[in-house]
Amino acid sequence: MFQYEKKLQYPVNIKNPNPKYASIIISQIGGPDGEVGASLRYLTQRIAMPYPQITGILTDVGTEELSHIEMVSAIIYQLTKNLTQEQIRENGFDTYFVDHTTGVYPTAASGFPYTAAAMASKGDVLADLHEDLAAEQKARVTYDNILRLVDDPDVCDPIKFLRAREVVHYQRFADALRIAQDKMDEKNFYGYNPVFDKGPFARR
Amino acid sequence: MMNNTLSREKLMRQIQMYSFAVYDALLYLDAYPDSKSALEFYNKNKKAEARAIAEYESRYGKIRLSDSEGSWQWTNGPWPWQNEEVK
Repeated sequence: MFQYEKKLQYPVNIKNPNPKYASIIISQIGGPDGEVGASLRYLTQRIAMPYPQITGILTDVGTEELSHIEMVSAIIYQLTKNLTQEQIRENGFDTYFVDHTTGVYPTAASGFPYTAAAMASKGDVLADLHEDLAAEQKARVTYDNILRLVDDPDVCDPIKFLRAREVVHYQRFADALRIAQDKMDEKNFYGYNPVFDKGPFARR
Repeated sequence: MMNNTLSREKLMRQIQMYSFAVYDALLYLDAYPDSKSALEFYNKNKKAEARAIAEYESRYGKIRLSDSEGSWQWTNGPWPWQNEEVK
């Protein structure tokens, strides 16, 4: 089971509301490389993972991603608090506001609602771990792009923390890939393990 | 060492710092379970985290729901996504 801890993983304290920034950063909640998709990807993949050590890594990273949903939500909440009529109408925030007011809704910045189509759970060690390595890099690029578009230090500080976590997760998934490959046949030239190809899953 | 004059915000910052050190070491230990230095780092920060949490909880209420006891303070704000500097 999961239990909530009543604290942020890293502090978020934003002085100046800015709906424009909110409408960009919302992508890291419900966008293709956002934290909702990240947590679902790892917490689903871990179930079919045959190696306990890698199940552990997926569990712990997936759980951390849940706390990142909360951190990005805190950023959105504080950027959209006490807005004036003008602030709502300007900066392109009106299209979000009309559907969600200032509620946090998992959507991409481009307006596409969260879809599981942007993640994979393939039930195959190598396919899933390569998906995870790519996912961490894509999320890192998105945070880099946010840092290219935002110049408020109160916002950039927690975004930089989140970006650094993508880099660390990439390292841990690289460790996981090494652990998996160590367990495979020595002559594993083709990136799959014939040992898996037995029983009901045997190819014909 | 804990200082009785620490504000709620500063106390929370200590918890966040130690909790993060604990978690990141834990994640590293998932991949490198035989690392003695990582385990040492983990244990050291785990103790500091426990001290900071005990100090915070004695004044501001529990951080985990299942630790709640006696008078019911769990639903009291502020909640974590609220700005700590704006009262």
